Amino acid sequence: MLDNGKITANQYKMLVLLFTIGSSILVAPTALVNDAKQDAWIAIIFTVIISILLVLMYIKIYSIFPNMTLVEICELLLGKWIGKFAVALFLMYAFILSGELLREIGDFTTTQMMPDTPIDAIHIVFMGVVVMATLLGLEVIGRSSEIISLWLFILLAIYFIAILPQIKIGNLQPILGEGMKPILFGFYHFISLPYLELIVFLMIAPFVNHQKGAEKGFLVGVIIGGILLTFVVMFSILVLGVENTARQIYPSYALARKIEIGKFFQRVEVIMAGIWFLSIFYKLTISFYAFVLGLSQLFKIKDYRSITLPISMMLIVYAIAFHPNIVHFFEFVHNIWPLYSLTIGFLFPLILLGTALMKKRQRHVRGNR
Amino acid sequence: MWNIIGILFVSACIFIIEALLLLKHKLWKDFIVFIIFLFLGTGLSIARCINFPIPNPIELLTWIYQPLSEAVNKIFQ
Amino acid sequence: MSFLKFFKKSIDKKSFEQLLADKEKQDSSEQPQSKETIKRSLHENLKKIREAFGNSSDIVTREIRIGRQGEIRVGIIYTDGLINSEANHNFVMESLMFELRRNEVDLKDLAGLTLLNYIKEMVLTVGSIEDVHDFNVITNAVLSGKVVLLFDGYEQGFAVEMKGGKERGVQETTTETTIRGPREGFTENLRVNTSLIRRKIKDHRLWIESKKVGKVTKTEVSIMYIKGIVREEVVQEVRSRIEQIDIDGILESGYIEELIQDDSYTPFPTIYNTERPDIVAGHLLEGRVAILVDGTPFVLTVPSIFVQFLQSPEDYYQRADISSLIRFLRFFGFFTALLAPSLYVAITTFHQEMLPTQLLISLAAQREGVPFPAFIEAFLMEIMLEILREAGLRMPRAIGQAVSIVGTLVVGTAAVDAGIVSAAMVIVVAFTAISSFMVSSYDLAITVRMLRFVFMGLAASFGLFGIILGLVALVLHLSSLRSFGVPYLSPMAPFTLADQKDVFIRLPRRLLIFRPRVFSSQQNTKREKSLFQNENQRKKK
Repeated sequence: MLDNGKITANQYKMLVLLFTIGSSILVAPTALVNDAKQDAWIAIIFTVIISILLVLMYIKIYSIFPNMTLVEICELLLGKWIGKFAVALFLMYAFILSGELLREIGDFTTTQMMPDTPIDAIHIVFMGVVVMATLLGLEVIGRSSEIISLWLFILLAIYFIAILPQIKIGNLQPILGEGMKPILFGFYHFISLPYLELIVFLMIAPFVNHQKGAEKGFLVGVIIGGILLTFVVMFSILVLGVENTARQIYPSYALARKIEIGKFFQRVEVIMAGIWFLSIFYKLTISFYAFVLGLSQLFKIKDYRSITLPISMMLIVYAIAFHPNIVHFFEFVHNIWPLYSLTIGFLFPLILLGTALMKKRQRHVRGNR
Repeated sequence: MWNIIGILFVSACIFIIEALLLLKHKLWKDFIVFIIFLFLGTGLSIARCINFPIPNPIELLTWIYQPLSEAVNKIFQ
Repeated sequence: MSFLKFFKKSIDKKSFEQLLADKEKQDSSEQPQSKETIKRSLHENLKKIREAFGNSSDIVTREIRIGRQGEIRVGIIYTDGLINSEANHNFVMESLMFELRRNEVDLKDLAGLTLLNYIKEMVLTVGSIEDVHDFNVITNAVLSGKVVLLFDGYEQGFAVEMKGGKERGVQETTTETTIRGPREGFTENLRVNTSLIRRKIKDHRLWIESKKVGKVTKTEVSIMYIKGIVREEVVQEVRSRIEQIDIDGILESGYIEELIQDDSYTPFPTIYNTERPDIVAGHLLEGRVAILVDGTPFVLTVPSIFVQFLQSPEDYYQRADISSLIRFLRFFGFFTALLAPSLYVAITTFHQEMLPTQLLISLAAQREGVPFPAFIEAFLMEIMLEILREAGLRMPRAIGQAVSIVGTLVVGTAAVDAGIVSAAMVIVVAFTAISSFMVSSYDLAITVRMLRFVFMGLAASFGLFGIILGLVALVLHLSSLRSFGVPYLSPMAPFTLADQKDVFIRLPRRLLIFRPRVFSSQQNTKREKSLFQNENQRKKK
């Protein structure tokens, strides 16, 4: 295994947390409310519970091979050529995920904050910091995540407290007015956006210095992230109402615009922007790191650092080239991404787990004879 | 035009930073992989600058999953 | 930055070391370590020494005769101004010239001792005497304030410790002032400095190791630590890094700091320096290593972490609640000093909608006549401020104050009246400047001043987005730093719950039982008895 330094269980937990809320914290309410209307909060709680099962599956794979990244596990279980093919599929997923995230940053910034700045400039600057983090290594990413998550919690606390006075309970009713179907639809979209993407963590789990801590941290991080997302969705419905939320592209940002305490403390949506930038930075960094590390393990080269810069160039190109416009982007995320995520984030690890357990059993049987 | 010069300049910088190190350590395999990706990166950047069509994996995915997606949407509507 | 660092890391270590080894070999072949022992003839010896010093006028080489008939000729060599001449007259010259004659000692029969041993053991009324045989040792001894005695007809001499001369006494520090706390500060004399620390920590486990560094200056560098509290590997690391220093001269501890720090490509100080003995004593008690350099009042302590540059010794002398609040204020000051102008630039350029309408109108009215964009305006004002500050430092002290008053009041007001800058900008810049003085460490304050311009550039080109990115990059960079193996941002990252009691807040002393885990090793409690035992005793009463 490449020598990338070790991270602590606490750092791992923070990374999982940041990854879970990154990007979703801004857009999750719209997608959910579109599907499940005022029952979105039921859908999200349902999803968070199911996501725990999903994470337990990832943890199971990790606990069988605590010292191997997903790429190495894959090549071990599926043999050289099928393994390499499966790895390539997974890496494509990580690459597309990174590209989509970068595009999301560009779209948000150019539409909401800096309308006059070209989107490429935003991408290049943001990618520059991501590349810096990747080159500095996982240890530094982990350590910085502890500081950043502290800031994030402070900002989130201000955001939640400031939004409290705007709540209207009536927005939640009627409960379960349209049956279970919308809730399941919401679940289908929501599990794909942050939760199935968590599979990239199987690339960095082996670098946690403590196995039990990593397993616990993974679970706790996902649960805390789920609770935070639940709050955001609840507040969106409670403050903005169902129809208004569904109409927004960035509902949490619109929500922050509603904040008004006294005459002075208002128009603080930049708090939400800050929360989102910080968390999506880590989401992008982790998926990019997973991609670059996986690629270097696929080609069996010594250090992932040498290919980081060329690949960041490709990513900047593809962040634009993936989608001709923002509508195409949202359609893709809404229609295709859930299925793609299910394939890579659920089917793929399921096959791996099945193979692993089967091989283990075979060995066990052989051992008994 | 300036874009392309800029891209070439950046690529040259990356080459100087990384390649020299790799060669110094005699990591031939790393060097080859690095060169391939650097060419890909530079090529793609230039292609985008002159609006030359580049292969898009999103289209492939859309082609694969479109029928399934429609079916799913139909179930939930 | 990161590229550079990466580049540096990846330089082939082996070849580099080999290079160094080759260089050393060359050095040694060029200057063979001449071990020249002294001759029997005193005259020759003195001549040789005079030649070695080029007949320098401050090197005194005096020839005297001792004994009843003056039968033994003795050479006395010392550097005028480096020794305590009164003590020299009283205890060396007088003993030799007077005592020997008055007591009518028979130089043939000396209680069974040889002449030299007799002189050493029964005549010279001084503390420390060393035997010397070698010319190199003699020159070094003469230059470090010793009196060297050579005897005609003997291949041996004495070096008598007689350090003295004029030096600045212990005075109040001017760079690090506090309301409460000891007033004394270190001086330029290494011995005085170690004694100041010894007086505070009266424990035999306070150890000092010394080494001469600098091929020409031969400056004495001491490392000080408390055995049993300090981590052995840190001491070992300090020792080996100082050993590896290859330089001609050390004039200030800044030389050492630069040569032994972990990472040269960073604007942040990774080694703490101070003029106050109480700070050094506190650091030693926490398990750090102090590095004292002769000739400078600034003492280094390692390992150093980021938060410590925002702390002040007063935090520990005042009540805990007050210190904690002031610490918060200092952190706030750090961020305003770093970000205030860039936030102003970002908000007025890109995000005007964030301001309340009233404020926006008044700002717009102020900026109406200003010909520059906000960034240029801020940049001009900041540059002017830095010029004033630097000028105030270099001027004679009396004029310096006048300059700063003229600069801030007159130029500031005139600039606003002339419509070159807006009044709000002056407020922001002044506020930033005052905040930067809150950062208790001068080294960190300089860093903040420098990074402020980077953030202003980011704000001018990318607004708040740029500032957030800059902050992330800053945190990443800080996380990558280490100081003698200790992560720079600890105990925040990696997070240690037990050490949080003395970072942002300072808990009452009753609760500060354990030493910080990042520095100290085995004996982790600050007190002999733990808190629970105290509580139990109280209950019994």
